[in-house]
Amino acid sequence: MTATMDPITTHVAALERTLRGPQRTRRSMIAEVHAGLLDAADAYQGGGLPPEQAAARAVRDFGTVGEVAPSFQDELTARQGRRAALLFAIVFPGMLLSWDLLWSSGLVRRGGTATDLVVALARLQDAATLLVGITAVALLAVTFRRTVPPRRVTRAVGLTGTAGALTCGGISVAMNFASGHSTVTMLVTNPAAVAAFAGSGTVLTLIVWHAVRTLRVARV
Amino acid sequence: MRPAAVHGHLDGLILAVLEDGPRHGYAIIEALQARSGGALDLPTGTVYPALRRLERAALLSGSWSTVGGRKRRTYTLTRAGKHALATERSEWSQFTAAVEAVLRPAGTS
Repeated sequence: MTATMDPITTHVAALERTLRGPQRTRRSMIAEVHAGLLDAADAYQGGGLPPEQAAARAVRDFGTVGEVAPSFQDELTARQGRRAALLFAIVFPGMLLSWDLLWSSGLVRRGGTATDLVVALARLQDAATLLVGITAVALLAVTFRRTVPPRRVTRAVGLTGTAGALTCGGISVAMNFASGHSTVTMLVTNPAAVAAFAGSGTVLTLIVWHAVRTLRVARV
Repeated sequence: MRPAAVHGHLDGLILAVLEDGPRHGYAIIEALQARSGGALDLPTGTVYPALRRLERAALLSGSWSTVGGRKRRTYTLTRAGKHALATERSEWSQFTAAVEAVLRPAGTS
């Protein structure tokens, strides 16, 4: 490593260490900054400064990590929020649609008729999913606004995903308990049902994981 | 000029600099300093997140290009960006007119 790069590489590495959020965006921002600092150092060298001084001046002009890191983090937080919002906006309605398809296709079949309680829970599930979907889309739109504090939006996205997953998961469990015996029969006799249950469980777990990660980026 | 005063208008300044064509980060910083005659004294590190913020708001579009062996991110004003710039300009002139009118010593016109 040449002496010219040392102050710049050190500064860039120090900045990167403070940042959290989507890895690709983070790397992209750091690479951009690194190139910019090298450009600035080149300009100073062109003006007659020796390489080490040129690099030091470029780093000084850039600002300290403490000064500039919050703005970088804001952008990463915003990106995290946008990604999560998009994920939730797609996956929640997607899961509902998938289950509807499974039931109506007859691949998964439940014996007997549904009780009033199960029907009510199913309606609640629809409403909860719709609410999560609409909220996620609304928050996604908000991520396009420059002046809204990213931490607030991203925190809202994380809470939506967490609450949504816990609510929808909870309603599903309640529905299965309320159906009682027919659930057990279905699981024992129908491998497609087992796969569907396992799939849903996996998806909900992934959603919760992503939502919690989003909350952490927003420093909740 | 105090950094806090500039910071609030940084977005508009960046949009204006990109009006006549795409530029990458350091070139934008240079243009800001050149066009303001060195009066705008911001940490250059604040420009990069501002560029990303403008890109997130779809006012700029960014892409990577390699020139002279160095990969740089170049930004172009989008149509929405042009509208935003026009809005910034008119809001700024309204604002400065209002401030001037109030700051003017009493008894003069």
